[in-house]
This record gives sequence, structure tokens and C-alpha cells, in this order.
Amino acid sequence: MAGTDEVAVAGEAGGAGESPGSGEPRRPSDDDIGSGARAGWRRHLPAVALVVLLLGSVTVALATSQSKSPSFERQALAIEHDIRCPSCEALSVATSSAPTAVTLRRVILARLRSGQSAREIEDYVVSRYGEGILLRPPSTGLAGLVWWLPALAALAALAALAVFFWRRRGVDVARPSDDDRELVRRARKERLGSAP
Amino acid sequence: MKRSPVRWIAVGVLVVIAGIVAVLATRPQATATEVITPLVGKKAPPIDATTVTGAPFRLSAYRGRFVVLNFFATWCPPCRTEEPHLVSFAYQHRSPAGPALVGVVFADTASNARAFFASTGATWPAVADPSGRIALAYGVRGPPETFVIAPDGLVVAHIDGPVTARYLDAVLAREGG
Repeated sequence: MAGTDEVAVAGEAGGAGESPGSGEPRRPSDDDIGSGARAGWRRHLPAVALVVLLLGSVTVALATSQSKSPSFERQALAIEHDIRCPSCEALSVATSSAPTAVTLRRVILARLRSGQSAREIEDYVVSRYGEGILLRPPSTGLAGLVWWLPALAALAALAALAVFFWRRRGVDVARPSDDDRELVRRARKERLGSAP
Repeated sequence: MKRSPVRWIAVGVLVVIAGIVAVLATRPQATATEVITPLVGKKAPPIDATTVTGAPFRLSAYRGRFVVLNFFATWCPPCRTEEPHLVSFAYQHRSPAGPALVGVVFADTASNARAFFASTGATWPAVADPSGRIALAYGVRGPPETFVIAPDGLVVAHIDGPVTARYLDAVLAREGG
């Protein structure tokens, strides 16, 4: 390894850090310090390379995901997963082969190509089949509680924890009295005194 | 003599199965139910298509009359159940000013529909919907489903399940038809 070689070279020149003939440790020279720093840097080279590689991958992934808008087919698939097959109970339009699902898939793609947004398409389907056609509950109205309740519960839990710790802060923790200290002191003295 | 518990369990399972079969065999057939869907009270989506015989069809041509729009398929048993009732309804309302009965083929071929109509004596137009877009526009989930459209073009009833002539007459009477 490169680091080991550097150390060996330094050892040959200076007798492993000892002054020649004296037997005492010698002060490291500037050359020694420089080679040590280089050895340390090389030791960390794989880790640095890994970090650079990871950062590069993330940058490339972000750049490509933002530069390309998803294709109509991808957008359609995302919408299809959010819509229930009208003639089946527990399948999405994306996964059902029922005639109504097949038709909906065609209509979703055609509407996307005509420039409609996902929201507009979902609104159209809801206008025909009602809110129940959506597999994802709406974020408004009574059904919106499905989204809001967990967040509210988490907030309430955090608030309760904060109040709990705040109250605990004010509680006077029992401190040892002078008698207690005297008792401990005597016990330690006895123990130390009886030790061989 | 002590009987084996396995025998009792087997008898119990048999009794349960017999009960389930009895319930399924004697339960009443699916009946028509009026459902509230987003389309009720709204303008009926336009239909501009061809019938299974190749004739052009426009729903707007029926403006001024009640229209009973029936989505059906030949592979659907309840549709076959309701067909004689529809034939009877069409015969009772055969006057040109009366309610018009129109069929829409749901996920089925035009040739199947033609043969079905010929065998049942149905004489009303059956609109072909090979792409399923008419069914989607009306929010149809599965046949048979029937829509009653008022003379002003508004959907006044959405009926799920096999209808009878009496049921349709009651809906029409309620809507002033």
C-alpha cells in the first residue's frame, strides 16, 4: 500500500523516528510531516471517491427527472391507479380487464393527449360515477379526515410530550441531605479502612 | 357407545353448507333499484352513434319525449330477465308521442345484439357502443342499467338492475310522463 511505503521510506531515513546514535526520539522533520499528511489523504481516497460518486449519481438522477416530463402513458398509469374499476369492487382501472376499465383507460389517455390535467380527468370521472370511484380519499370534506387526523394526532402527541417534559423540569429532584452525605462518607471510610 | 367428535363436526359442516345453499337458492332475484348518481338532475350526455343495424342515431332527435335508455348485454342474465318486460313496455307505449325505448349495447357485439333482439321480438333501436364511451359518459358500471330522460333532456332517474314495465310506468308517472 502507498501509505505503508511512505512510512517505510521515512523509517529508513531517520531510524524509525529516532536520532541516529542517540536512542532518543527525534523531532519529526517537515518532510516527515508532509509525507504523513499525504499518507492520510491517500488513506481517505476510497471514501472521498465514494462520496463524489454518490453525489454525482444523485445530481444526474435529479437532473434527468426534472428535465423530462413524464410521458402520457406514465401520467395515464398514475391516474388509472387512483380510479376504481367501475364494474369491480377492489381493483383499480390500471389492474382490471373489465370492459369499463378498458374504456376508462382509453378515455384517460385520450383526454391527457388533448391537454387535460389529471385533476380535470378525475373530475370528469367523478362527475359520472361519484366520489366513490376514487381509490384515494379526497382531502376535503368528511373524507378528508383520513388525511388530517393522523397529522393532528401526531401534533397532539408532540404537544403532550412537550407539556410532560416542561412540567418535569419544574419538579425539584430530591437532593442528598447533609446526613446522607455523612452516611456515605462514613461508609466509604470504613470500606477503605478495612481494605488491605 | 361414544361417538367420534369428527362425525359431529362433519354433520355440522354439512348442515352449514345446506343452509347456505338453501339461502342462495331461495333468495329473491336482483331487482331494480333507483340509484342517485351524479348524472341524475343533469343534462343527458349526447349520443350520436349508429344502431346495430347501421342506422344513424341521435338522442337529440327525441327531445320533447321521455326516453328510457337501457344499457344491456346478451351475456348478462338479468338483461335477459328484463327483456320480456321491456318488450311489454314498448308495446304498451307504442304511440309516437309516448316514451321512447332505446337500448345501448354494453361490451357486446352488434351481431349478438341483433340476434338477441330478433329472438325476443324487440323493435326499439339498439345503439352500438363498441368503444364503451356512451356507457362511460352515463357512468354505467354494469348492465342492466336504465336511465329515464325527461322531455327537456334532463336525466330524472338512474335504475340499477332489471326493470319491469310496471316499475318504469311508476317512474314515468312520478315524473309526469
